[in-house]
Amino acid sequence: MRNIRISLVQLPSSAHDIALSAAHEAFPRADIVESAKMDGIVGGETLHGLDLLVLSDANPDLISQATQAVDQAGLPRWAVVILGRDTSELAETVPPEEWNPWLLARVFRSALLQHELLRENFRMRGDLKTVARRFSHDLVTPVGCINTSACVLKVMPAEDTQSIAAIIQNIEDSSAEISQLIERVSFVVRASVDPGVPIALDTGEVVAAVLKQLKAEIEKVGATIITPPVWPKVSGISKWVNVIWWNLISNALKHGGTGVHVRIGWQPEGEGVLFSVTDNGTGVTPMIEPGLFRSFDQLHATQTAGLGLSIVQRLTLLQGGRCAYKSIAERGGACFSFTLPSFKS
Amino acid sequence: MNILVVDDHLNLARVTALALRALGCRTFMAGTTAAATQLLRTEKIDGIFLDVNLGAESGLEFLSQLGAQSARPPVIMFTAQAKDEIVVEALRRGALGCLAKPFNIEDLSQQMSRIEQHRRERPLG
Repeated sequence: MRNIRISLVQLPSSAHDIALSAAHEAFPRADIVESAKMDGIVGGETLHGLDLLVLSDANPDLISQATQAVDQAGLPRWAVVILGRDTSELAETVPPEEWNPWLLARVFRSALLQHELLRENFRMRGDLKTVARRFSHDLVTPVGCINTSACVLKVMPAEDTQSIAAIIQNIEDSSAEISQLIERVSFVVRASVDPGVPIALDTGEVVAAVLKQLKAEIEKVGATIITPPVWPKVSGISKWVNVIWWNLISNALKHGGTGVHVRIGWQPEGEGVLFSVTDNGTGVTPMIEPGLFRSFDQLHATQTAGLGLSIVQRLTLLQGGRCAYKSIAERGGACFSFTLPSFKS
Repeated sequence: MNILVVDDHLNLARVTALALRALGCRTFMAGTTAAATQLLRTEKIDGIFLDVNLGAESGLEFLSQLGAQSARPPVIMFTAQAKDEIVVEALRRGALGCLAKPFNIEDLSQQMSRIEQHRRERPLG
């Protein structure tokens, strides 16, 4: 079970000790953060990774900021419990006559559960919209292409073998496009609803398998792949980690151009490992940089975003990691990274 | 007739071009507005088939840019989203017609007849 972080913000002394006992009662292994200021509530600096926020009703602005905060995916950021009389539609409010550790502990547990279910609900609704959008919109073009190809094939003179071969190739390409789209979308949905159990992974073996899968593409662009001599063990799901590497390396090959140098690396970071794929291509235009890792459940809201990096983001998050992009404009090129938890035996 | 097909989806551009060739046209293909602009400069184009969505670019915006030119070839827009508002917008911006995807060779032939008629009524310089 993951560690829960609770913050008690600006609580009056009459509420503070009871809330602290309740937090320990509800979640015995929780990290409790005491915050006397409201700084960081919106920016998230001091409260990063927080699950439950306990506030008093003395500061309406703070309540408003706390209850309306959303994360990068547009999902409610944390569960909020207000100790006081002012009610809020977006948070559980507990009046002073009900302040006792046992009751508050139940409220805290319930608020956190409700928050997690709400996030899950938003995410799944977003996923459904994305699947609908991808199937209804992205499939129309290749299906239409097959349809039109068949119509053209009917009227094509039999002696025009060159055109006939081109049309058949079109049908094959469009079919492959449809298969790939269905496979990729289904993969994300299956992974999200059936997370599986992480195991100890030898990253070197996963990367070697991916490089083997991409052998033809590597040779086609004449790429040089530089890998580290030793690899760490991480905790993850083999197939997902394979897909993450495949997307990042194949992006580097696709966008790096002929003769691209792709450097694959890693370094310890906190309790995990940060992996990176760096190329010396033209990099990413600053205009599209903010939308690179668009959350899969938000993909329905855009027409242009590709699936690859959204898949990387979702699979990384599901394994307790995060991903990022760093421009290396001074040297030219792009650096994509992701983290995974270290394996602990 | 020389027809320019502007579509970021290579397979669809290719099959449209093949169908137009079967109808007796000479065809050119462009996947971006920059490539289309270049072809319009270097080739004598009699008609354009232009996709509404060009990946990160907008076919409708390109249509407006073309509209500002004095003697531009007639444009048929094709779209995967056969929505009335898109058709209305395309016509408002000066498109000669709209073609919904997927289309067959008869649909294409009808649009070619419109281009031919337009050329007869308004010959290009």
